[in-house]
Amino acid sequence: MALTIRNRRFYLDCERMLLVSGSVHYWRLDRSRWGEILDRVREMGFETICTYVPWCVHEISRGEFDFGEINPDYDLDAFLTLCEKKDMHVLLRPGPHVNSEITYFGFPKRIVHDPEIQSVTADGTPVIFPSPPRMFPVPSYASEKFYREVGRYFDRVAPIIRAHLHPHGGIIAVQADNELSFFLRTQPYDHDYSTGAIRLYARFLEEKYQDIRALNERYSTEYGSFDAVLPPRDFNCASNGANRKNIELPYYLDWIEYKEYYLQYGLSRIAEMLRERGVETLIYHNLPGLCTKPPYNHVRMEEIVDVVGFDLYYYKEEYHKVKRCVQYLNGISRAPFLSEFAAGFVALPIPVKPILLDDARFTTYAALMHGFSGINFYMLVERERWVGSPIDRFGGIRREHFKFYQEFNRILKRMDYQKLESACDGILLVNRDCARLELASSLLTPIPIIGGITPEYYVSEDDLGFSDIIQLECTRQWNALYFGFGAAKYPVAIGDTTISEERLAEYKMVAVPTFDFMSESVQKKLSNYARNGGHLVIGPRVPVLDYTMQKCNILEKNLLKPYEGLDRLDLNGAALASVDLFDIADISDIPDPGDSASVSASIPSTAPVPASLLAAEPGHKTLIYQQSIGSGTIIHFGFLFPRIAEPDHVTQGLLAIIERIATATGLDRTIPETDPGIDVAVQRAADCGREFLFVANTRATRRDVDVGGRYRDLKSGEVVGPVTTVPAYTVLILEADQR
Amino acid sequence: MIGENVRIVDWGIEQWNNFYHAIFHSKTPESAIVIIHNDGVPIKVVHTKDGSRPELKERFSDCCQIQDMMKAIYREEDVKTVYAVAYPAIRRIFTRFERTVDCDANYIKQLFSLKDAISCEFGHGITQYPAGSHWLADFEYKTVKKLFASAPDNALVMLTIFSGQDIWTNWIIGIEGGTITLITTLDVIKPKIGSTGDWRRECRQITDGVKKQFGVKPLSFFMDHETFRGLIEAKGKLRFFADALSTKKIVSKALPIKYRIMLFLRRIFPK
Repeated sequence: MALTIRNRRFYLDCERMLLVSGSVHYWRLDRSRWGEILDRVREMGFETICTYVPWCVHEISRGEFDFGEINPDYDLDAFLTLCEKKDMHVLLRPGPHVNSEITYFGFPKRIVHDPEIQSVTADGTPVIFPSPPRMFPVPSYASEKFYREVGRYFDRVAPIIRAHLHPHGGIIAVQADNELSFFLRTQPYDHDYSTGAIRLYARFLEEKYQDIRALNERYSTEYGSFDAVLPPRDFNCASNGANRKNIELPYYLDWIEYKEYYLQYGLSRIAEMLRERGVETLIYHNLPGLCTKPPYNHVRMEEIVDVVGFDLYYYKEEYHKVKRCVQYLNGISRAPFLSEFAAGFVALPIPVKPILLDDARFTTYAALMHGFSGINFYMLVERERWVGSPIDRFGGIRREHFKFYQEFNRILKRMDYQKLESACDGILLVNRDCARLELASSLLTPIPIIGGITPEYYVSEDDLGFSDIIQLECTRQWNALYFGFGAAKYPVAIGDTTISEERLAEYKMVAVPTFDFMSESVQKKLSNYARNGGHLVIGPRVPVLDYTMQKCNILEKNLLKPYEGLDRLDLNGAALASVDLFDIADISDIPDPGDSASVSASIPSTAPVPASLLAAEPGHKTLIYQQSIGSGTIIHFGFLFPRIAEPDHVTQGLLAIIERIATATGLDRTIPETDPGIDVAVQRAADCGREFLFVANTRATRRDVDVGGRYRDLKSGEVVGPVTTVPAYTVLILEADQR
Repeated sequence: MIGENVRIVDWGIEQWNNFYHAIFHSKTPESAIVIIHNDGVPIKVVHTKDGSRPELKERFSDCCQIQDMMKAIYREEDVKTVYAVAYPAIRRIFTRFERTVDCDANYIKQLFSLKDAISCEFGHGITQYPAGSHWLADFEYKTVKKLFASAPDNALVMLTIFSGQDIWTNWIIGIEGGTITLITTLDVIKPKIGSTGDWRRECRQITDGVKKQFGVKPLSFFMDHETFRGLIEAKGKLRFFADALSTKKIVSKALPIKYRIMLFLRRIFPK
C-alpha cells in the first residue's frame, strides 16, 4: 500500500503528504475536453483529483456494461491513463452509492425497484428518498441480494481499478460506498426493518450477549432465542412506572448501538468486497458533516477502513459547524480528512441556498485554521446539476474562483502546512452513552434529522427516573462547554467517549458532560486518565450506574456527595439550574465510607482534601471543586449550564467558570481578546519551530482584535498587533516571530 | 413533467442565486410554537427559534383541551402561529405517503402524493391557531397537469427577468413528449447577445439567439424584477400573469395564436 497514515498524517511512498484534491466527473464531460480540463486543474495547484464511478451510468443492463465501448465519455480506463500521463493522483469512488446529484444516487433503477433489496420502515413500507428528479426507494444494507448485485458490478470495475493502482498507476486511495447514513433518515424507529435487517439485529444481540440468558437478565425478559427479540418500533419507555423506567432502557440503547452496527456492517461488506477483488490500497469512507453522534461511530468505522472523513457544505454564517467537524476529526480520526468540501453548489430545483465564493473564502480557511491532513474540493469542474466551480465543463475558468483556489494552494505551500499540528491542550468529549439515549428517546421519528433540527426539537422530556432530563441536557451542557472554552480563547479539540486511553493521554484536560449513568469501560478509562496525570472535568452529575443501569461508581467513589441543592442560581448572568453544593470544609470530618450515615462525602478519609474552585458566594458552599486522584485530578461541577446555542449567549458568569477550570487544569489562553465572535487556533511545526495563530472573525462586521503581541500577516506580509482589524467573515493567518 | 434524466447545465452563479432568493427566501421565517401531544396530553413544547420550552407545558397545564392551550400560548407568547401535532401524525404522514407514492411517476406527481399525505392530517393530527387557509389541501395534481398540458410540446420555454437593463435570471426549459428534459440558461450564448440598453428591445434579439443555439424558437416571457416579485407574491398567480401579459408588463414572444387572441380580447374587454 503506497498511501499510508502515521501520526494523523498521510504518507505517500513514505513521504509526508498533504492530500489536496478536487472532484472531476469524467463521464459528465466531453472526452475531448478531459486533457484541457486536467491542465486547468493542475494550473490551480492540484496534483490529485477525485471521481466517482457511477454504477447506473456504466450498467446497460444486468451484467452488461459500457466502460467506453459505446459512449467514449464513459471510458474510465482512458481517463485514468490520461491522469497518469499528466502525473496526477486519483481518489476513486466506485460506490455503489455515489449520490453525485445523479438520479437514483448511482444505483441502477432495477436495483432500487427490487422489493428484495429495498429497506423497510417500521410500518412495512419502502423508504422513499425524496430527491428530484425522481423519488426512489432506498436499498437495504442488510439485503444479501443487494450485495450479490454489487458484486457483479465490482467484478467488472475492479480489474480497471487494479490496473491503475499506485505505484504503477495513479489511484492512491479508493472510497468504499458513500455517506452511509440510512440515506439521512437516521431517526431511530424509521428503518431498516427488512427481513435481512431484523436478522442482522439478532446477530448483533448474539455477538453482544453470547447467551440469551444474559440478555434476558438485562432486559428482564424470557426470550427463548435471539431471533425472538422484537426490535423496538417506538420509544415507549416513558409509559412505565417511574420506579422501573430506566430498567428498560438497555433494550432501547441496544437498538441504537445496533443502528451503529448496521452502518459498520454495510461498510465492512463493501470494503471487503473491494479487497476480495484485489483493490489493495488505502480504503476510506465519508460521512455527512457533523455526524459525530449515533448512529455514526467514527472510531468503530475506522476499525473497518483506513480513514473516515467528513463532507462539509456550509455557509459563512456556519463557522461553528465547520469548526466542530474539523476539530472532531482532529480529536478522533486516524487522519483528519475532509472528503468533500464545498466548491460550488447543487443545481437541482430544491430549496437549498447556493454556497457562493464568499462562503468558500471563509469556510475553507476556517477548515485550514483547525487543521486537516487532507481536503477534497467538490467540485473543481462544473457539470450538469452543479454550479459555481472554478472550471466550467468546457475547460473555461471562472476567474475569481480559479484565483481563489490557486492562492489557497500557494498558501498551503508557503506555510509548509503538512508539517503543522494543531495545538490543543484540552479535548471536549461527546458522551456517547447519553447521545445514544438522546437518539433513542426521539419523538419525531421518522422526520429526518437534517438542517437546523437539533435534539431539543425531538427528544422526550420525561426524566426516565434520572436526576436530569439527560436526553435534553447532554447536548445543552456540551454546547455550554464548547462555546465557553471558545469564547474564553482556550482551543480544545473535540472527540467522544469511544476514543482510546492513549489518545486521551495526549491532552492536559479532558472535559465531558456526565449524568447518572455511564459505561463501566468509559468510567474506568476516564478514571485511569486522571490517575495517570490528566485533569478530568465532569458534571453536572457523577455516574452511579453503568450502561445497563446496574450500580457502577468508579468515578463517584473518589468524589464528594452534594451537601445541599438549589433549584436555580444566578452567577454573574449565568443562570445555573439544579445546583448541587459541596461542603469542602467538612471534608476532614467525613466518617468512614462504610458508615451509612455518611451524607456529606463518599471519599475515603485518607484522600487529599479537594480544593474549592468556585463558591456560590464568598464563604459559602462550593459549586466546583477539584479532587486529586493518582497523579491527576477530577474537577466536578454540580449544576446545569443554561442553554447556549451561539457564542453571543456566553455570559460573564460562564466565562468566569471556564476561567477557573482552565486555570486549574493548566490550559493556556491564546489571546487576551474575549469577544465571543472571535475564535482562535494555533498550529505549530515541531521540527522548525514555526507557529501560526489563526484569528477568525465569525461576524458580519469587522472587528478590532487584541491578539496580545506582534505577528506577521501571512497574506499581506505586514506586521500587525497587538490590536489588529479583522474584516467580516475572515480568517487571519499570523505567523509568530521565531526569534 | 420532469424527466428522469433531466439535464440541468450551464447556469450562471448569480442567476441561480437570484432565482433561489426570489422563490424560496423572499420572507424571513415567522416564529411558531409546536405542541407535540399524545391523545391531547402535551408531551413537548418547542419554539422554532428558542428550542424546547418545557416551562410552557407546566404553565398552561390547567388548559383542559389542547385547543385551549394553543389559544392561551398564542395570547401570551409573541409568535405568529401555534401548531399542535399529534405524536402519531408524523408517522402516519410518512406511512401514507410511502404507501401511495408511485415511484415511476414524475416528480411533481410524487410531490403531490406527499402533499396529500400531509393534507390528510390538517385539522386532525395537525392543527393550527389561528386557523390557516389550507389552500394546499385543495390544490390538486390535475390542476398542474392541465396547466402543463397547455404548454406547447417539443418546445423550448424561456423566462427572463431583468433588473434594470441586466438579466437578473433566465431559465430555458426544454420539453419533449410532455416531459422537461432540459433546464438551462442563456449563459452559453450570452456573449453573443449584445446589450441594447433597453430590455424591451432586447427581447427579440435574445429569442433569436436561443433559436440559433437550440434550433427552436422558444416561447419566451420577459419581465422586470418588480413584476416578477408581484407574481411571486400574488395569491391568484394565473390572473396576475394574464393581466401582466395584457398590459405588457410581461412581454411574450412566439405565443401560440389562441393565446394571442385571448390576450387581444382581454385588452378590448378587460373585465
